[in-house]
Amino acid sequence: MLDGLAQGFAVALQWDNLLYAFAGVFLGTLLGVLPGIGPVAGIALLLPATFSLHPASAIIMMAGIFYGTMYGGSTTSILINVPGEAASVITCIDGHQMARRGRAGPALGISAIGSFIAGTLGVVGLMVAAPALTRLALRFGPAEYFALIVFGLVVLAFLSAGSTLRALAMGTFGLLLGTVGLEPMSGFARFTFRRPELFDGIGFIPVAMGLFGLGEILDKVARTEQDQVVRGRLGRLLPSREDWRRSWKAVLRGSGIGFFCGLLPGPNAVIASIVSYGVEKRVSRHPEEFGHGAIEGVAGPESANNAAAAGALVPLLSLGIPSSPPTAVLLAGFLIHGLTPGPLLMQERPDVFWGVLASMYIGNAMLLVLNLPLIGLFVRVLRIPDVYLLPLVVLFTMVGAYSVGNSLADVWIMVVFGLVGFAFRRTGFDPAPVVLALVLGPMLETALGQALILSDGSPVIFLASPISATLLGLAAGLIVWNLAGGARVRQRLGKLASVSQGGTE
Amino acid sequence: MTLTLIARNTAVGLLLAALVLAGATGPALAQYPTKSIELIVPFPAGGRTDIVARQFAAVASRHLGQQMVVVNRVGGGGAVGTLAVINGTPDGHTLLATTIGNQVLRPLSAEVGYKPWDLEAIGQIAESTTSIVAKADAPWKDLRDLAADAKQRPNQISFAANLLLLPHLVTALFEDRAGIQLKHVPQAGDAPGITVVLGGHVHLVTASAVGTILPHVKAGSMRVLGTFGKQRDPALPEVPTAVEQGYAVTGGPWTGIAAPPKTAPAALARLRAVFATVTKDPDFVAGLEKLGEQLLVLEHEAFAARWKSDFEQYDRVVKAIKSKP
Repeated sequence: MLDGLAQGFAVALQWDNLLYAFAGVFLGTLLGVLPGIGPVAGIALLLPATFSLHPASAIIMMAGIFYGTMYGGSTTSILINVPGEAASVITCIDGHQMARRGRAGPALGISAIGSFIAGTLGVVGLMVAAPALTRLALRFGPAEYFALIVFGLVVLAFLSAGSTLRALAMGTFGLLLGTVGLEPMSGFARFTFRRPELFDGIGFIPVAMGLFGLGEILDKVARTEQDQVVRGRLGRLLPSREDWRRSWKAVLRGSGIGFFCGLLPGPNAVIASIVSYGVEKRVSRHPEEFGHGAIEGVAGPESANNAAAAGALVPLLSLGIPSSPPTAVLLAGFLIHGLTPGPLLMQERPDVFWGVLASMYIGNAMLLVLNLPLIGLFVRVLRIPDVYLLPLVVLFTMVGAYSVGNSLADVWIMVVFGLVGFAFRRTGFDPAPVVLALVLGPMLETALGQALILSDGSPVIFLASPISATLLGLAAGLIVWNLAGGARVRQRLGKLASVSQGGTE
Repeated sequence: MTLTLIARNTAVGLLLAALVLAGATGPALAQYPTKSIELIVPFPAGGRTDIVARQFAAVASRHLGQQMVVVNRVGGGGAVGTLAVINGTPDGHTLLATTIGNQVLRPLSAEVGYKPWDLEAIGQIAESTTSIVAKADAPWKDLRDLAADAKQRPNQISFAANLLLLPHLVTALFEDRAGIQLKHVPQAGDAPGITVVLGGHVHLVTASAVGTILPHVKAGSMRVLGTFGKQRDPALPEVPTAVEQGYAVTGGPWTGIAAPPKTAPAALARLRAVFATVTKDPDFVAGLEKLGEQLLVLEHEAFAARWKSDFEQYDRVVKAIKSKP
């Protein structure tokens, strides 16, 4: 393995490959920062430009875009409460609260440093444990997957700052939205009103752009005076010793959770960030701060989505199976250059395999160097007067929603959900569970249907598999724990939350 | 280099245009194409159709003297982009990169308000090979083994395939010919299907292309029981087709180019001529090969005839599947 890595660095350190790695991570950061335009569109658009490159260079650049977007995604989440891409939705919750308290710098800093640590640990994991982990990921069939999503939904219910009841209401709303479209087991059309645009369901990107982007902007217009306070003091740019003490464990936990979630099929970076946030809130000694600018709520998820990017490369490189949309585009990139990722890649093209791995160490370091100085620049975005900033953000969200599928329908969906998001904010509902339930709902339904087809309708399949039984048991335990022991704590929490909400609204 | 190429081809294009004008064949022909041409891909960027389309567009631009630009109009399993082209301006500046999925099968499985023949055919580019694949430690060596076993235990052996898309329908045809019943587990495409088979959760996967399964076959973790091409797939020369094994079932997903209905005849003629040139271009052929796509060119008449016959064949299959409890 060390020989391989040495060979890899020999490839990755060639000056042209360094240049392509830099181009990739730079573009990735940029695409991550722009709301709506994520890694999929970025890699796909660049694909034709790589036709003439050496295969290793092309893959190095495309992989750079992929993990680079995970760095940039948090920037707009923190600064203006508009997620740069789907895996940074959860970062809005505490990241933006930190910014409103004049702590945008530390929030951006911890997400860049956390991303670096998680990204690097992720590559180590990818290198050391890939074959063993692939076997573990393969053990996730429909039943296990169903249990994992149930667990995710239960975690989600305890995410929000305010009342659990409100979070449940929002989650249910998201699940209901997820039923729009063709039913996954039979193809029966539900709530599509004969519009082909709705056959594949309501996309979560326009919904997230609307609820968070447009909704936040409308809300901002309605409460401009308070933000002047934030603008006055930008605060320090880097995390303090105290910030560090609170977040280093969150970064490590996020790295582990993210890497593991990355192995599983689906929008795994999104799931990784949700689970990490849930875990941080659970283990924290001051859960009441979550939702009001807890730095762990930024450090955990932002590390998790980066580790997930590395984790997602495990099934791609070792099995040739793309587990998420960005890795599917990356697979196309391999194929175009006559490479088939999979069990034979390491033997047939060690230069590409190890070259790409080595470049990821270098790329992550480049991203850190690139992103830390940018913090000062990004924080100044908060100084731009709203009259200029807000229309710009509206423009970006519109372009972002449109660019997903060049579809005007998505822009309309975004506008509608912008109004819905505004109403939610005015009434004190947190829109995060809506988006996350919308992502998980259709996956839950598909996994449930598949599992029941396999078992001829018998629900025993969910308990017969040890993985699925464990996950379902954990979910049940979490609910019981919250109902019993949590009641008292929550009462206090609720009071605190209502006080501080009263203060900021 | 690209720049000089473009420049050179623009020059060639201008020269051609001048020649045509001199021949006074009529202003319509002389004018087309007057601006860049949109090639609409009804699927997301990075997918198979998208990559074939991008390679086609890159080579076609050289021969057309105008840029052909790929635009992804995603949604409705390809219906949104297909409708956009059907309702597009029929002047030859809007084209569709079409597949059996969006053009023939989508109208069969959902109400989309169009039929395959609502488009004008330019030509078919490629066809990939559908195949039934099992894990290497499965007890079956070929389709005959599978059929014999499945006869003993109907609805016990499971297969993963995209709901009501070609792999599902071809498997249904095979079940019908072999007189067996398999258990269908809907999966969103080849990759998740391969995953559940490798994990031992589902017995078989019907893959829509050889490229996705080939690494696993080479690594010895999966075995192809049979392919549904008319001939053996060049990448899998040792695997007999279903027809060779005694089951008269063929069907592979095709990709081609179509234009809006009533497109100006002059533009159609030019596009069909350019299509013939592009599909013989060595760069284009080499690019398709790398993707594991089989170049299988059909001229416009044969392509349009295929839309109709495919529609009729799979209409029966879809109706049979939907009538099952």
